[in-house]
Amino acid sequence: MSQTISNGLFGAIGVTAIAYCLAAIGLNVHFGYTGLLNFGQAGFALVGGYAVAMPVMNWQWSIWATIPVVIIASSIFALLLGIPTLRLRSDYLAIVTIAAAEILRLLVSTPKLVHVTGATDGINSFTNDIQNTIPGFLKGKSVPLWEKQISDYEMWVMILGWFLVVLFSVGVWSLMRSPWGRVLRSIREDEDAARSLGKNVFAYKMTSLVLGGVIGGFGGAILVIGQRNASPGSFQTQFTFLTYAIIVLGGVGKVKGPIVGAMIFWFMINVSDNLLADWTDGSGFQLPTWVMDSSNFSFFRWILVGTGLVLLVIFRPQGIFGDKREQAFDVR
Amino acid sequence: MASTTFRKVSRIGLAAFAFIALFSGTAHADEETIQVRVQHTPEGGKKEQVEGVEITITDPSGSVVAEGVTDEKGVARLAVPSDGSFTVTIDPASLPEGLGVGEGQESRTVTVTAGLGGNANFNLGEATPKAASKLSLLPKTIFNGIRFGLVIAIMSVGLSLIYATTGLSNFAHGETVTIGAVMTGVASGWFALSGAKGGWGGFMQLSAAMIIGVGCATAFSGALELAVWRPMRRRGIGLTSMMIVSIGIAMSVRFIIQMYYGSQPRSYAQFGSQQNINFGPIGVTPRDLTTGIVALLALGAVGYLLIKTRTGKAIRAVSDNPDLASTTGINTERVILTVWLLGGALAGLGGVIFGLDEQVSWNMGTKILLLMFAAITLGGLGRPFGALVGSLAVGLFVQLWAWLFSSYTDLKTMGALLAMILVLLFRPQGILGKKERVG
Repeated sequence: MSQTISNGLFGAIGVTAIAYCLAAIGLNVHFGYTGLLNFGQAGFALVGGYAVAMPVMNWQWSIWATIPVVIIASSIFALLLGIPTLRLRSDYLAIVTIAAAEILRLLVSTPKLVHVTGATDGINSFTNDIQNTIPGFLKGKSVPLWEKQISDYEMWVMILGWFLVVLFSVGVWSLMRSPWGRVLRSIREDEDAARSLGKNVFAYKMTSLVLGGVIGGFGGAILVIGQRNASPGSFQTQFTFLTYAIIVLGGVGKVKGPIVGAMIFWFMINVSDNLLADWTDGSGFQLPTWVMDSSNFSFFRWILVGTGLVLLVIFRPQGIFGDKREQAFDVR
Repeated sequence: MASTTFRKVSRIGLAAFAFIALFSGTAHADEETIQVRVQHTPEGGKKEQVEGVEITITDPSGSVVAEGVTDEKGVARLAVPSDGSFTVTIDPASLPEGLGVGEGQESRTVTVTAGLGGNANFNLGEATPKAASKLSLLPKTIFNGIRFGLVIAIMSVGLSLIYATTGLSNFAHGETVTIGAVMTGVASGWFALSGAKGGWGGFMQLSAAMIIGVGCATAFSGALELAVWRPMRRRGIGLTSMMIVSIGIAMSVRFIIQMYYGSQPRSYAQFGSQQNINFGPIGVTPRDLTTGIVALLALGAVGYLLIKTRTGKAIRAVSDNPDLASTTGINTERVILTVWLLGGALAGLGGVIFGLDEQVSWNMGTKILLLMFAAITLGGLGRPFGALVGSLAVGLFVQLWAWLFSSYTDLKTMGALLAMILVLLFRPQGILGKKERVG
């Protein structure tokens, strides 16, 4: 049992949670503050992830030199998506973004580009620079988290990742308190009203799309660095939907939403996975095999996520800790 | 003359259903390896290994299971999902200059034994000038495109009608498609246990199974309306929330199917390989012909319903303006339920046909959902006949892409999605959309 809990705790603060948290901070800027229905956050994360891995593998760049590439590439992707869709109704943005994310995933999966993208296997061994910069106090040690041991590499990526989470959260918090952020929220509440006040709604939406996209790009970058592998499998449409589940869980349009959401989400995923594995492994308490067995229990977590998302949106749209009056989406 | 052709068609149809079901029971789920070796012996020279040759492995239904490139030893080891027989194809375009494979030699069937894997060796010769022109494949490509478009159309008409009457982009529509196909697959398994497999028996079994599958899809769609969407509308929950709820439902249902149906794609128990009937340059299997006609009939019925009947008029009235429709005495809620049931039935039918074209898998609906959205966006969101036009455009585009860029067929879906985005740039209301609906 303590094993399960410590795995859950590690899940809550681990690299995957950080990556999804960053993607969710970006999505929160789009969906929570501006009301943009971006269903292609996986695409932004993919751009960020490959912007790190490709220059390092193909042109032997230092991994630190790819940071501007992440920013530029995600911004370009946001501009490409925004120009055709931001003047249209919101469902068009949803369909175009989900399609664009899928286009990118198919493009990096194709065997024709295997020399550049590694096709479905993706790119490995681009993380030497991270490995080499592990600070002395961590090097060669493993950090215990109750019964779970965290390796020095993981710990270092987690430190970098949480630094980014804090940086972007504070940034988004202060931006949303600024006049600029208030215009964004007025666009979310009533686009026509914002327009009638003389605001250039298109430009505001575009900057919001770029800002959230860049943060999502860093999410993808942390994900591939943490996994030491950039492959299309990590950036399926599922990625976007999980990110939505995270911000709905933590509270849409709140700065702490993505952080709280990602931690609870990955804690629950890891705990339920561990429990189900324990209940289907053939010893101790067992679930009946017609319910699930050791070959199919791992799908159950996604059923749980889907059902949880449905119940949350219907019964607690403000998130688990939120106040009903602060509900931020679907106000119209 | 016409009646002879018809008799010939039906006779071949009979014979073809009698073929053995190749995929009725997949015993192994273990991965096996096929080793492909490509070499070339110049005249009077030593054997040379050929590097960089692109290889594709397909299963008997024609879907790609593995792809790879030979290494400097001229060898590629590719994993296939199970034992059985597979077709290994090398891409002639990827061969070094001056080398080529003989006519019909570029692909061969390999039998994979469990635990031992399989082998395929290709010996290249000098290149011969290209014989068959691409152009001769065009009629068949266009036929396939229209057929695929019709299949997408019967699935997406429901999606479009639901959008038109309720404003909801229903992401769970893909799962309705999957349910139709999976339940047909399960039922075809029950029926196959008793009675003959091939011939009319097989056809009848599959038809009966199809009724069960389509029934399940209809019930699923209707139940969602009654249990989820109608209460949500009553509570005044907005469309964005409903869209996210549909994503959650899609996810749950998809993985429930994966949990109990399994991850392995399967064909219907009555499925067998068939011979083509030739209509001029176009060769069609009786199966494809039958399903194409079924799709056409279903679409015709929907068109008749929408234009000629009272129900259809009510549906169109509700999609134009729900409030106005209810003030004229139309029972809006009943119309919406009808649309969900109709959309579910059509999606289920589309799933059954799609399961015959490819295989029945737990995520088949999700895979085609984006093409459905692309189709209804292309045709103009919320316009049922736009969905038909958009579907045909998407179907044709996918097949023409595969024909035009024959070495980039894995990107054909991407091509259709890209086309959708480009159309939105220049004609955001879609092909048939009204201008004022947008923005």
